[in-house]
Amino acid sequence: MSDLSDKEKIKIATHFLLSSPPGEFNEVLTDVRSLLDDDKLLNQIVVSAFRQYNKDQMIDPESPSLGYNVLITESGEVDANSYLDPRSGKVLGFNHIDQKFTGDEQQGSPNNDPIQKKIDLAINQYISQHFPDGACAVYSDKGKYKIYISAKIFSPQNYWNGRWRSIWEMPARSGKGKLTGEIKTTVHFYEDGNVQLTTNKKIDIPITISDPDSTAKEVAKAIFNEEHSFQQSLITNFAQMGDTSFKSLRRKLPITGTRVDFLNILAHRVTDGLSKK
Amino acid sequence: MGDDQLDCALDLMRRMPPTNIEDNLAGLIDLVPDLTEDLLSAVDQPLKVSHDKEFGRDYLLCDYNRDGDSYRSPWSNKYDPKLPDGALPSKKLREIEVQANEAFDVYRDLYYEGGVSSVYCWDIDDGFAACVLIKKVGEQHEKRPIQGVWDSIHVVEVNEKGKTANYKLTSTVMLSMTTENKDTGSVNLCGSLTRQSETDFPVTEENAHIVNMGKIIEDMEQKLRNALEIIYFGKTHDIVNEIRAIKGVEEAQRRKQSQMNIVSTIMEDKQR
Repeated sequence: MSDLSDKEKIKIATHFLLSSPPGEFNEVLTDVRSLLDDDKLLNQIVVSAFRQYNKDQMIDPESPSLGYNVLITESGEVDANSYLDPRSGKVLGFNHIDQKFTGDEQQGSPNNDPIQKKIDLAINQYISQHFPDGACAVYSDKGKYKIYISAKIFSPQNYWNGRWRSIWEMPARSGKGKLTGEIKTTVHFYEDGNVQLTTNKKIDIPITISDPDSTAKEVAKAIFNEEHSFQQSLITNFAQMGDTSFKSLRRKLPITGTRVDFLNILAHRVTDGLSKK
Repeated sequence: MGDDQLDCALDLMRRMPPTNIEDNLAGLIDLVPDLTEDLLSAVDQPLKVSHDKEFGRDYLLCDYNRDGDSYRSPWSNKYDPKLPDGALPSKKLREIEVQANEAFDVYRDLYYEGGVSSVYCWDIDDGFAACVLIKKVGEQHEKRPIQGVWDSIHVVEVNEKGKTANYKLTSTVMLSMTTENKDTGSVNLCGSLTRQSETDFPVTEENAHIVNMGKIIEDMEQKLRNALEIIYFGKTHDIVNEIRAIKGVEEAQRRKQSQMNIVSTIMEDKQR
């Protein structure tokens, strides 16, 4: 039996759970349950790990009553089991383990901020144009607008999953300000192996906050431009990695253009050996 | 329970970020100490380089040249730190090991134009086993600082059956490519692919084992290199582009539809 204290076991198990790739929390949980072999201990951490993972990943379950996907985020968290949908102003009951809304709904404080609403509209339009399976949320939080974008593609039958996350924030007051953001992508490919792509880009650009329509237009355009140019650069980067760096690690064939002749190598070795004698 | 736990541990390692293999493996061993030996031999780790002072040559460290806390150099056949009763291959096998190290050193130079290689052999019932290791760290360029590391780990089990021998090969290539620049931010493309093969070869000629092992390892590295190229620079790139349609969702759907039309036209033509 293991000599590890329960506290140390919990630390390791939590680390594994929170390192789960997009869409694979349940598979990792199954593994961790078997390895920990102590359901009582696991039950102490499983709900909080689910909650942290769901927020980190910015999962986007559908709300059956609202008819659209609502993001689970740090900014939207009212308490451990309820999350604000800033679009409708509703607070939705959420079960972290099922990753589903419970159907409990309460009207939160009414959302009358015209800039926030217009940004949501503009970003939502951008999502529908560029993310086949994505959603967004725009919060007004401590004098700032926070824009969350989350998109995914899960294909476990083909052994791959991926997620795109971006978080943007800007001051909620008129005048010149800064739009700061972070774009993160994660891809996991695991057929006969384990290959993961993780990228992280931080952005900081000036922005002018004025009337709702022009502000929303400017913000959506800036986010589109940044995300577009990031993706374009990533594509170029892949090509460069594949063309130059990868080829310089290992050649496709030796410079002679022919495969290695092991018999010949060993024969040379014998002659070398003889001549030394 | 033990076998189930080992399966779960290996499944977990297939899902955890490949950049943290050492830490995750240490966590697993802490959690299930009974699996320590199984995990150390089943989970491939990035290869470490050591230096043989007597021969003035680098060699690679892995579980197969480890005894306790010491590692055996393939050049001097000695353990570092010193280990008087450390496990050694039989005299006959050591001859094969010496030749294999020289042969794969040439192979490495031809394909990798640099790097370090090591071959370790050990006796098993009805034959022997060998692991062939190659590590190459790419050179960085000033303009685009891309850090590339390649680790090849080939384990061959050779079962002698009279005039033929059966070669069971398990190969893993770990490849890590990382970069950081203002256009993409940090990009981390890491991981490994594993493949297996099994072949029978005649062993009538002298040096047959090394020639046969060379052949299957060269074949396998060719296959793995192709697969790595497709997955690292094609597949992951395609997945990102599926999550975010750079030319727009409509254009992506139109393209998909036209591809499907082409496929169905081909299928119809075949049926005619």
